[in-house]
Amino acid sequence: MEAGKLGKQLKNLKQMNSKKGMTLVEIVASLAILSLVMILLISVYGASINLIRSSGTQKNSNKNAASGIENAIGGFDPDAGISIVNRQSGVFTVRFSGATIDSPGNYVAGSDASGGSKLHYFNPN
Amino acid sequence: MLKGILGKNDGYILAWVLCIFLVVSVACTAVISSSMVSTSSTTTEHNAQQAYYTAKSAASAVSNYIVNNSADTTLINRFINNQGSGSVSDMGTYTVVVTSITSEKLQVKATAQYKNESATVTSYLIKPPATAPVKIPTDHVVFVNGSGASGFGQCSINGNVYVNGDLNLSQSSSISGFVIVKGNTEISGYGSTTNGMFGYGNVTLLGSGAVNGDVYTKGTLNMGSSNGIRGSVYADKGVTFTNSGSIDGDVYITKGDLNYNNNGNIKKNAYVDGSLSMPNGLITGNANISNNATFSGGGIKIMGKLTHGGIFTKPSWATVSTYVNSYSNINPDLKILPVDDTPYKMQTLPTVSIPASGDLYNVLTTEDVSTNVISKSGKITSTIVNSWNSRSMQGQTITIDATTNNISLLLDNTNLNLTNNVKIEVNSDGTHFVYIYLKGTSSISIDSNEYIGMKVRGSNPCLFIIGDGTQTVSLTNNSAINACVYIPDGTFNASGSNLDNTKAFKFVGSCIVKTVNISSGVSLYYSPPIITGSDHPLAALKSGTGGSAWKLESWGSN
Repeated sequence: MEAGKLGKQLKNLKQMNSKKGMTLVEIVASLAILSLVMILLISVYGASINLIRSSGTQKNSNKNAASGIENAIGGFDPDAGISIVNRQSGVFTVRFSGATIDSPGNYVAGSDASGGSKLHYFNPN
Repeated sequence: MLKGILGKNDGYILAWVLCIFLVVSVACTAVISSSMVSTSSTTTEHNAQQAYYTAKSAASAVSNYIVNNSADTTLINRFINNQGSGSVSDMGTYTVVVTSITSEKLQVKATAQYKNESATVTSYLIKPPATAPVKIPTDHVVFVNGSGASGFGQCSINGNVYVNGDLNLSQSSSISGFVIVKGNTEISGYGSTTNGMFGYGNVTLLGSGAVNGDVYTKGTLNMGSSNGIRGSVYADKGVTFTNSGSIDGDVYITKGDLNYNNNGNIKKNAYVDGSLSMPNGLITGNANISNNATFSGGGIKIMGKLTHGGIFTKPSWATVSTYVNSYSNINPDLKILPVDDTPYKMQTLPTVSIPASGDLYNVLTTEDVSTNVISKSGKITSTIVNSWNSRSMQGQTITIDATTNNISLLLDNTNLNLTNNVKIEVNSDGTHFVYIYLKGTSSISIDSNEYIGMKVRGSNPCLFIIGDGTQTVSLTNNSAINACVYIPDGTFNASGSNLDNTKAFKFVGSCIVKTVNISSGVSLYYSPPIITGSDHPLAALKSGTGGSAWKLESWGSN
């Protein structure tokens, strides 16, 4: 009875020694690869998030620039802190066959107050 | 879990790594794609917005120009059915097409390209019906208050012409302006042209007569010319080709037929509230016919689609496709409005009223004109005229000085017939005028090397020659006039060469008479007379008193 029990214990010990586990090298290598990949992906992720954020800002900037142009078309001043409008007198030329139209007026440059997006329009007199 | 799934103890950490890597990769790919799409969409949005503003700028500029120059029909007509283009840095490129939808509605369509984006903006201009008068006589270089059936010989007329009767234009004559004819019009002879016309009667083109613009007629158009019409045709009563001429634009027939008795060509579309007969000829675009369509002969005759409501007739050997590329037997239900003459109605000529008294009846003496300067009003007698024609006055210039006051001169049964190379020049500051009144049998006749007109030749006239009856103004040989002639029952004769080669005109100004006799290659140029002040005898003819202007009706996006 006692001999049989001891034999079973020895067998179990033998089996335990024969199991193949993770070596330290494998774990370190896996962690290293995972870390590198994660660093790379997280930085790309971050950059992408920034790009999306800046795209949103740009969209807003476009909207503000357009707002400046629309105000100029309507004869209003630009909304303070939102858009900036610059006017420069000039002539808008359209060349037809046999005749040319030189329409006097103002070239209007509407931009976001932060100086971001810029749009151009010609407002005839 | 993975351990359980794999059923083994070894290597499951690597599977975890791969799994996490996959999840993170998918997440990152999604974020990157999203950011790229977002950035691209923002850029596209900006470019599209700029393209829109560029298109709107172009449409605004052209619309504004047309509105501001409404009175200049000739100028406006140059842009109709014509394409313009241009570019501005930071704004891209643009094209503009001005289309006449009706005589009272224009479409200005601008398309702009900025980087890879394009946008189209359309504006519509309307000319509201105006209360008569809508046109004023002094808008014309020649206004014939009677018939012009025989008065236009060989001539070059640069400006608008109005004829209160029939007009015959022949012998290579040209009118670089818009023509309104109350009667019938015949344009014949090699190279005779106008820049568009409105005819209350029938219009006939013969020989190689041509119209370099649109033709509006309340009658019929007979295309007997081997040349043609460089615009569209709006005919109330039908169009017939009797020669091989072409019509570059569309053809609208309010109530009448389109007959090809010869090889004519409509280069765009035909809209006919009537029947079509095509034994010959060609329609390059579509034909919309409310009634019958009859074909004979061989060869394709309609390059586009024929839509008609009546009977299709053809020879037994032919098929429909022998004559048309596409076909539909459905009444197009055309609603073509009659040609509207509202924009072409003319102001009634004001009656000439020569002052019954005043300084102009004070007889000018030879002493008054001894310095060759006339600085006061008075009556010009034959004594004065004879003194100007004396040998000592050979080649002299007489100045009428209107720099500080108006001057009225009267010819009362007197002929101002210069014979001695004498020139009469008006010196005006543009705010004072010279009126030469003709009464009774008076006339003005100038001949070789003689001139009556503004000191600065070709300038806007401040000189008005006004007659109350059948007086005559004549130019012969190398002479010239730079004035506004207003003798509604009078006659204007012009022949011979111009005064000198550097001033290539015989007449500059505006001439309103009952009869004209223009020949020998005479050149006439329009120059609007300066008419200001309510006391001006022709104040009713002040430019801008008639006519309605184009105005912006609406905007569109296609």
